[in-house]
Amino acid sequence: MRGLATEQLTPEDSAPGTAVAAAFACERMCRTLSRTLGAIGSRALLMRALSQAQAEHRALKEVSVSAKAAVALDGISLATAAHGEPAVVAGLEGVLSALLALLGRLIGKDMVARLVAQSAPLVIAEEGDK
Amino acid sequence: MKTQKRQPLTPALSKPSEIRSVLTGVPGLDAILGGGLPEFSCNLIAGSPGSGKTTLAQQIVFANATLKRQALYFTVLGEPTLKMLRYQREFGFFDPELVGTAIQYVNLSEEALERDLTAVLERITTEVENVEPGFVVVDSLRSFLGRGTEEEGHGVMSLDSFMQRITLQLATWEVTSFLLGEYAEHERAPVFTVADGVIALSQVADRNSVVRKMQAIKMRGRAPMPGLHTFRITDDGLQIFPRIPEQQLHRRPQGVHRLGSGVPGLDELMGGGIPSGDAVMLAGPAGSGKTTFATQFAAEGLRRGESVVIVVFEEYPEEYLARARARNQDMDASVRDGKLKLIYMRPLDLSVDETLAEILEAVSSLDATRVVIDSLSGFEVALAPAFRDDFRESLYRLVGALTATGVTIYMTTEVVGDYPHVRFTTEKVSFITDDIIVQHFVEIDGVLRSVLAVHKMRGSEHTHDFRTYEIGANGAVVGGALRNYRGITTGVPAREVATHRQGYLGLTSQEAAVLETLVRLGAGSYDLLVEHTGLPLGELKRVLARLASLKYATFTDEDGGTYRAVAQVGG
Ligand SMILES: Nc1ncnc2c1ncn2[C@@H]1O[C@H](COP(=O)(O)OP(=O)(O)OP(=O)(O)O)[C@@H](O)[C@H]1O
Ligand SMILES: [Mg+2]
Repeated sequence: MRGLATEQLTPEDSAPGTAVAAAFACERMCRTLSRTLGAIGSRALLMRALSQAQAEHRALKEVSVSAKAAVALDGISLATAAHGEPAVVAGLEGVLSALLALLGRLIGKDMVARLVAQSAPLVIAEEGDK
Repeated sequence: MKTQKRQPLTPALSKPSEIRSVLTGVPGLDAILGGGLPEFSCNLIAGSPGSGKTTLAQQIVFANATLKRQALYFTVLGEPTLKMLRYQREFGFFDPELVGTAIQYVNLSEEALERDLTAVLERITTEVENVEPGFVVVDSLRSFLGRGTEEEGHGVMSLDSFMQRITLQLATWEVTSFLLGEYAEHERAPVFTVADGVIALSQVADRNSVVRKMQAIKMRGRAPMPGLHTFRITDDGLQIFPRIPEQQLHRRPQGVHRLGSGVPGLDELMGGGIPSGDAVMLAGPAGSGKTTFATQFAAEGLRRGESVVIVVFEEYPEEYLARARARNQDMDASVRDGKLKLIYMRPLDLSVDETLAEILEAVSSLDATRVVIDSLSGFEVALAPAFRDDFRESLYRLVGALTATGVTIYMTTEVVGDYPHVRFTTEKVSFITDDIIVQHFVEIDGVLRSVLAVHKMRGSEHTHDFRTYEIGANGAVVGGALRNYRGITTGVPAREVATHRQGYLGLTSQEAAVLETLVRLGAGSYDLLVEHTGLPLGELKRVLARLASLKYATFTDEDGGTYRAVAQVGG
């Protein structure tokens, strides 16, 4: 279930502000949402959010939603090498906000906030188990 | 934030083993279930696509879930959760504040699609053991899924076996649960046997209306109301209209006192008025003044300080009030004072139970003594086609339930066709009525007159005579008897003997008769007047000359002479 970013690096390696940490945040958000929306649903959401963000961030050109894992972002290191860390981080922040905006339009901002808060502890517990 | 009233569990009774009830929060449903759902029961909600399974489950969960007794809502193969939340949040019962807190949504579509039902069952087990909810919903399992694919040794679980396993599993968890399943109307899967309760939802599309029905097929430890109950889905979710049980239809003893009909002259015909608690039917052709009579009945009640409910089908309440105002019956103040309620029934897709629920509600909230239903023909048209087929039964239940409350019911019905055939139409409804008044148009001496007669009064003397009635600026007034005419019911009565005439000053009875004919016809040629009065031409000419000389008539020289009445008829 882990994305490329987290497969190669442990969370400790992903210092705040790095592209890996930003990708990890996106993936974690999707995993959080996937309890409620299902893996299929949250993956579809991530794909839409990514393509929306790509329209504004050239640095996300190499980034894609992994074909193998349920919810993961591929191509982070490629993108960082090509565009530099800050641009990729900004792009990934764009992905996250596009995702939340999309969700907000679908079910209302109030519910999004609750859904995001809802299963966070569970996800952390899962990760701790591994 | 929406103010949501949580349904508390009914308090535990003395015995610790007493099964408590979960009230569903769905209007009408608890009554059908025989007093809510047993706590910790496992209930199957079965129905075709779009029958309302999801909405029902959501409504129950929103009425019951709290932070201490959370609900886990599993989506297996139902509509995508995103879409479900999007649509469900439109309902009045939906409270976004509870999402993710008291109510947690868990989507298992991936497990179901990419793995199998064993994986689904495992996930449900893990989640239930983590959250320890009070309510569990599994939405929903389609009948074709996995049916018959269970092969020995392959470990693939069939839907039937999944449903049975989860039911057994749920029994050990102390949760009240709902399994939603797509089952055809008469399908009976093994889970029907294992579940504690089975609620079946169905819908019948009939031309351009949809009739939704619900049945509590079984409910362990309860005595559910048998039969199919109508329900409706509105912005507030499901509302069920329990079929009135037969025992409520027994007649309440009728009071002795009589209610004024509000139409001068009519009470005399009815032995002094309408016996309170009766169901009165006023039948007449189009334009006979049925609404005028009905309005006067209502206004009379208001005048005496009673409360009244008027049910209209063919026009909006505002129009109805405006029409009453035009007839010098201003009822607006009564509406403001809460003495009068007008119920407008939206046409075309009503069920009888729905109509009844609304009328009964109004009757009890106003403590009404009079109910006007104007008209039954409109009611029949307003009903969904599926109910029209059984209009007799519907009406029987409507009137029966209203009668049980003690109100006096005044119904109008349009009668079509000529009189001899009219019987057929009123027969359809006469069996439920105590008193029947029939209006006709009859031709008397060439003039169309309105007449009425009381056809039936249960347990009371009444006059059988035909009476004329007039509708003027101040409403309807019943006039004199038409005792001297034969064959009124044919529509063309013949005079038997010279009728009593009001004295026209200075006229013989023959001259008065000609004048009356002239008044009714408005004007008439010699030929026409000969035909209508039966007098020989010479005699007629003499009479007309005299009427003209007395200024009762004028003569205009058109095609062989036309006479016109000019003076007011005396009396
Ligand atoms: N505001 C509303 N007013 C009236 N009817 C509504 C309203 N909202 C939804 N409906 C009706 O409710 C029905 C949907 O109910 P619901 O989704 O609960 O059915 P379901 O049995 O779960 O269907 P499915 O099998 O497709 O999941 C539809 O027929 C829809 O027309
Ligand atoms: Mg559904």
